[in-house]
Amino acid sequence: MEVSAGGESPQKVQSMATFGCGILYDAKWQNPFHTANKIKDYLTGSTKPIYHPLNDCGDHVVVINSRDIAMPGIEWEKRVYFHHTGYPGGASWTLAWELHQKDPTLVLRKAVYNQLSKNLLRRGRIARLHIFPDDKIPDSILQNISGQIRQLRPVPKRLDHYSEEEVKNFPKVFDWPREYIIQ
Amino acid sequence: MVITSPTLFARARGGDRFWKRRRILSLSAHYFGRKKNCYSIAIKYVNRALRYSTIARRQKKLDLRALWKARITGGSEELGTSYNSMKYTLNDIGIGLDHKILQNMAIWEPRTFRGLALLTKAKETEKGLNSLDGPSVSGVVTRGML
Amino acid sequence: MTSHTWNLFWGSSFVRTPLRNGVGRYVQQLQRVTFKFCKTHGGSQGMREFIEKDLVDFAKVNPGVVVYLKPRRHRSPCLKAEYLNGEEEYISAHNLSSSDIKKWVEYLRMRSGNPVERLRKYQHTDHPSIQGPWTPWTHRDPEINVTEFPSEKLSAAHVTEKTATEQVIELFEKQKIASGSNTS
Repeated sequence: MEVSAGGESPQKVQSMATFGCGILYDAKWQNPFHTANKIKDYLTGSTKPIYHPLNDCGDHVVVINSRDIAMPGIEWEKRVYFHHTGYPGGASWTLAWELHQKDPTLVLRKAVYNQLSKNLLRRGRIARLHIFPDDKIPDSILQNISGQIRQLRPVPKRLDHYSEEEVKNFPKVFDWPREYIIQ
Repeated sequence: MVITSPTLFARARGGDRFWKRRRILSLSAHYFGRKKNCYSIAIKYVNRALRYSTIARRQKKLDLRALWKARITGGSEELGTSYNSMKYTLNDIGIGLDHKILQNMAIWEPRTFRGLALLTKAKETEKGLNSLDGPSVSGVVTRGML
Repeated sequence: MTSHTWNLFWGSSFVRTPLRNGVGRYVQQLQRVTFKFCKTHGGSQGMREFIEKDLVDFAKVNPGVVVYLKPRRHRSPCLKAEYLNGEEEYISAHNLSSSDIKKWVEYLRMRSGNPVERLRKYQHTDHPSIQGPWTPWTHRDPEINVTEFPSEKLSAAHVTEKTATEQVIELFEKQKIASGSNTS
């Protein structure tokens, strides 16, 4: 039940409550193309029952850890991004890993851009996507986040992130005998 | 002798150019520029408008149905089910609500829609398809439980 | 043409009756009906059938309506109704069966002369929904009010299958319980 803070009319409260919210997504070790498929739904507003293509009901999506995205197979070596500056001789073909080195947000941004429907609304929708290569988000954006999207692939725990106690108490299938000397 | 047949062959045709044009120009009254006043230009645009309106009669039904489907999908995904699950399960149970009513409920009666979504999830849980998203199915009592 | 344009063109009005017809007495608004038909042409067959069978009954039931018949050669059949407020209604009956014509005559009989327009309502509500319209927080868990973002709990992917590691741990626990029960 929405309550007006400064004595606004109920219609205004309703419109303020339905304004686009900021949603967070952690892209660590996720497939950028599968995440792009999910993020596009939030940007277009397809997750809401008030959806209409002309309704401007999309949310802001903040993606963190885009430097750590994981493309399947040999995509890093084989995927090529084409760019033409418009001038003669301005064609360039950049491999995915090179592009990722130059700007770690671009791979995911392009994936989302290509997933959005190819109409005039695309520019507005991609403007609501904010990608950060690591954990650091500006406070002004962090304060406006009101939800989080679930990751698509489970992120396994790194072996060096286990505590000593856990390692000690973990069930062992095999251990060297005490007298055995490892050289 | 008076020959009457040649006079009978004379026909009075046409003479209604003004009214024919008035019929068309009345339909183009809200257009911009010469399209609204000049007949030979207006006829093209009025014909196009009429053609579009004939095609759109069918298209409107299809467009609205697609929109309703998208809205029901959005509302149900938020609550942990899917459009297909809801449609199938509600049909199975015997709840014959159509697309228009369901999307209206999703927007204007969200708690009723939530009830239907939870009912769908409970029925699917009986089949063994557990849903992990959305509100829990603790309060729902289905026929299979009794 | 949009429906908006169509409605603007044909106009809109509130529901009305001429001189509060029906509140006190009901006066039939249909003044006269003219049946124009050809005596020989095939398109008037339905009209001729109607005139033979149903017209006299219609005239008897509606004594306030004047019925005119206009047999005209080489003309397609039509119905023309005139109402007490001066409005006219013209319906072409070419190639219609007599049952169709009967239905159209019934339609003309029931009408008042008011033009066919979009009907407007006197009712208005600022709150069309009792439960309140949907907002992004209608179905959200109130837990999000106190979560710090990024939250691991909300971000973790749903894992449906048991990993091999988990299965090993389970086996180990089972063994422990079994050996514990053996010794105790």
